[in-house]
Amino acid sequence: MRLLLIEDDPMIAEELCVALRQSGYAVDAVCDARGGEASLTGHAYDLVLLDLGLPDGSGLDILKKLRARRDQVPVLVITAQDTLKDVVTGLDLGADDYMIKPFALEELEARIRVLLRRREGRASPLVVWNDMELDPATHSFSVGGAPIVLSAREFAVLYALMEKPGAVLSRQALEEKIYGWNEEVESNAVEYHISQLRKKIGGNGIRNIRGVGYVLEKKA
Amino acid sequence: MTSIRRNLLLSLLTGLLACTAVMGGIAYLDTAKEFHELFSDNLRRIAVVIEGQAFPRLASAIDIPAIHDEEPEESYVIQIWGKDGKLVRSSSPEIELPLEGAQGFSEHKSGSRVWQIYTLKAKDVGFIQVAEPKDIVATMVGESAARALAPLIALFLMLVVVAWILVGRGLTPFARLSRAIAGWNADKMEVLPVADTPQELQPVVSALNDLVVRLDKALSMQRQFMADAAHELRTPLTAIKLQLGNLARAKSDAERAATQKRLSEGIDRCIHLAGQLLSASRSTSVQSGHEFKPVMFGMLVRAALGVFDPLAAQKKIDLGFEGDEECFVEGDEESLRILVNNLIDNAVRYTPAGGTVTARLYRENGRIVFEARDTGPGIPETEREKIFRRFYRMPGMVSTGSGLGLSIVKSIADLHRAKISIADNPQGSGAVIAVSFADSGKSA
Repeated sequence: MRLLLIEDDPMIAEELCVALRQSGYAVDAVCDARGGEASLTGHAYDLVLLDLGLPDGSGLDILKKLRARRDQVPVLVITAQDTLKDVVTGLDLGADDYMIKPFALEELEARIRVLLRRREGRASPLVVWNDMELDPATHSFSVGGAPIVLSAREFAVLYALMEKPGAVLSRQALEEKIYGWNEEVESNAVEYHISQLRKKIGGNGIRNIRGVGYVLEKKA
Repeated sequence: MTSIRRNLLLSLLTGLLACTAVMGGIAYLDTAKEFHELFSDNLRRIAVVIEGQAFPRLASAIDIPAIHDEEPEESYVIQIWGKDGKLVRSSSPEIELPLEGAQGFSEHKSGSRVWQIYTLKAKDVGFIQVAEPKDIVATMVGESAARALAPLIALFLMLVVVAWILVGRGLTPFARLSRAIAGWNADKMEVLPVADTPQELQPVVSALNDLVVRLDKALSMQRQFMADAAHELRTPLTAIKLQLGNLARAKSDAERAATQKRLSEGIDRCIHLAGQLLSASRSTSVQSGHEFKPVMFGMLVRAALGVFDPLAAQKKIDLGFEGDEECFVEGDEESLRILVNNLIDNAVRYTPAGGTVTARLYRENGRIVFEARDTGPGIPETEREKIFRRFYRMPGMVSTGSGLGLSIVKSIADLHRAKISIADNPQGSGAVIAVSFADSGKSA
């Protein structure tokens, strides 16, 4: 899952990046509206965390432009303004949810999971494929009820594949899902995580379509 | 406590009473005089009547009845004297009155009474004397004159009532005003209507309205400041909350140590903001000119450099001083210290690693100038007015500052009638913020 964080306060941005990366999200962080616009036009994100009070404009303008070009990406507004008007304006302009500063990490992450789940059209918090069950909230994973421990990256790769079962994801797409911009990516990182995953969940779970990418195998 | 109503009533009533007393006195005396003349005239008339009608008979010693009222006390005494000066007849022989020589009025004391006597010299026959006791006349005159005073007293009483009512009515604008003011509180202070205010009260009302406007402005500024402050506190508090969350999740000692360090920075930031809020409220509460003393500005600058040296060293910033330490400025030492610290803090904060910050203090055109030069990003012309606003942040600037530093500098400078100017650093990139004070003329 790749998230964009638009937040001007460096301390808050850093903590959110640390926490979200630890939870297996790829996070790109920008500190102003201009950077936010640039990122949103250049990359595909699974979710946007948007601070409203930015030094060079309001987050609401970013939101307006985003929705004007029919980008459906879920937007979670983070704001220090708690007046009803601000909240209502934000939601009406197309925000999916909002959080008022100060907030707890746990709640923010829970809301992020809710938005991602809705985007995938799931009601259940669990992501299920064949006999595999993945719980984004607890980062737990099991095959046929037997729990298997995954690293954060492995979890992110598997989550990306299970999110849209049957869709083929290129190596590039998977890389984008699990690494932010400023993270060093080894050239064979995705292959490495896939091979680790195959060892853990059994050889035939993930299929490689040569020249196209990776897809989850459907059990007969 | 003085009361306009009481004073007004008191003086009005005193005045009315005095006027009534004078009027009463005049009326009394006047009436009394009239009556006296009337009574005296009466004596004369009786004498004349007796002379004209009864004297011939009296002279031939025909008896006449005594003329007296029911009460003998009030009776007249009529005497008829012969030419030879012998008493021929008397209406009350028991009262002895001598024959007065000349025609006209006279008085005679007989026993305990004083008599008023009218003596008439009758044609060729003798004298007629008519007498009356003076005290009885006086009593009757007194009573009659007193009756003349009654309407005056009634008038006085009516005037008292009228004065009472009119004074009360005249004071209703005061009562209305005080009711309007009693309705004021910190949330609701309305400007009083001037139109239907009596002219005499208008200075008071407009002074009050002036006060209301100023108070209202001060209050709303205070409220805005509180709201802004609360808002600004949220950001560092959010950071701390997140840092704490990450600390709990840290999986290794190294991670924990790193998060702890960030948490400690977050707390320092809160402390800094709290300190700045305090300075801001202080800089607005110190009154202009209030106990200003000569302050050795150079000492403040030196102390500030000591405070910020560790931070500068950490950022590899060359922090130094240039100029004349022996400069005195008339002012509030604590406020000036905050001003110096904020300017140097600001310069160090926005100067990237490896830069230079110089505090300069010098005399120029009879003024003392303190400036902070940095090699930071500089301040564009268009921002130079705005950066002194509370919680204003320059577009594109990412910072963990309080947003209060320069607004505090501005209000302290204003307090000291100092001028602030912003310029580009002549030695390359960066800004120069200069504050120039009047030279106190003192020197070490």
